[in-house]
Amino acid sequence: MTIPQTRLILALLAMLQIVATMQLFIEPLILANGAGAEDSATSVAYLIYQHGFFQNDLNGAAALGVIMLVVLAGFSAVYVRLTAKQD
Amino acid sequence: MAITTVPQIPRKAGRPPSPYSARPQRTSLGRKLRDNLTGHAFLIGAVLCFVVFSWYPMVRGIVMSFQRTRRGETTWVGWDNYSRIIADPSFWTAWQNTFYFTVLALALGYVVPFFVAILLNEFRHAKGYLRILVYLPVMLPPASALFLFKFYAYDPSEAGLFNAILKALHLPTSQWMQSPEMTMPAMVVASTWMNMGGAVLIYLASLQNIPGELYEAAELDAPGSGVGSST
Repeated sequence: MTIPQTRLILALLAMLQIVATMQLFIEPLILANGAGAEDSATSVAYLIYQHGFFQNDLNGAAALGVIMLVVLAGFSAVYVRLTAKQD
Repeated sequence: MAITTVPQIPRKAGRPPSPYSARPQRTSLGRKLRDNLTGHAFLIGAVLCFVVFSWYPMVRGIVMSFQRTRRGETTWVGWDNYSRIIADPSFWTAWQNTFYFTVLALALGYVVPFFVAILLNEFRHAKGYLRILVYLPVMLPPASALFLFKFYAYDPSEAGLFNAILKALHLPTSQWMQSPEMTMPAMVVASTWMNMGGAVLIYLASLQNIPGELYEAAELDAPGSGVGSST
C-alpha cells in the first residue's frame, strides 16, 4: 500500500541520491585525510582536487571534471527516460 | 457536489485575439520584455550570479580540459589531458571507490530514511520533536559532523564510541579509518547520518499524501496482515 503510492518519489530520490553520492568529496577529505589507508578512500572528486591544487595540473583536473560531468549526465538521462515512460 | 467549470485558458494582456484565427497571435519578443519589465529587472541579479559563478566556470572548465598552460602560455592540446588522466592508475581506483560508495550509500541511505519516515508517520506524540531530531544532523555543518565522527566515533582505540559499544557487546573492535576494508562502510555510515534528514522529510510528506481510505480498504481486504498499517 505504501510503496505503489510513493513510487515516483522513490524513483526521484534514487536518482538524486546517485548523483549526489557520486560527488563524494568531503568524507574522504576529512575522515580519511584524503586518500585513506592504501588508497581505499580516494574518490573522483577528491582526485580532481588533488590534481588541481597539489600536482599543479589544472588542465588535467578540468579533463577529469568533464569526464565526471558526462558520467553523471548519463545517469540523469537514464532517469529522465524512465520517468517519461511511466506517465 | 461542486459545480464543474470549464477551465479557462489564461490570455496574455494586450491585443485581444482575433476571433477568425484559431491560433493565438504571436507577440514579439520586445513586446514580451516590455510587458514584464519589472519581472525581468528582478531576474537580473539571479541570472548574473548564475552566469558568473556557474555557467561561465562550466564552459571555461570544458575549454581548459583541452588546453595546456605552461609558464603563462596556453596551447591547444586536444585530448592529451584526457589520455594522461586515464593512464593514471589512481583514476580507476577513484572510480571503483566512488561506485562502491554509491552502491553502499544507496543500499543504506535509501532504505533507512524510508523506514525512519514510516516510523515517524506512526507516532502520535512528540511529532515535532522527533522530526527536529532527525533533521538536526542536516543543519550541522558537514565538516564539524565529520570531525565528530573522526575523533569521537571512529577513534581506533577503545575510547571511541563505536569501539566502546562493540566491546560492551563482546564483539571484536575495529580500526575504522585505519583499516582499508572498513574505510568505505564507515564513510557511508557518517554520510547517511548527515544527509538522511532531507530524504526523511520528503518521504514523510509523500506518506501523508496517501489518502487514509486506502489504508482502510487494505485493512478490510487483508485484516491483520499489516498491509493497512499507518492508521
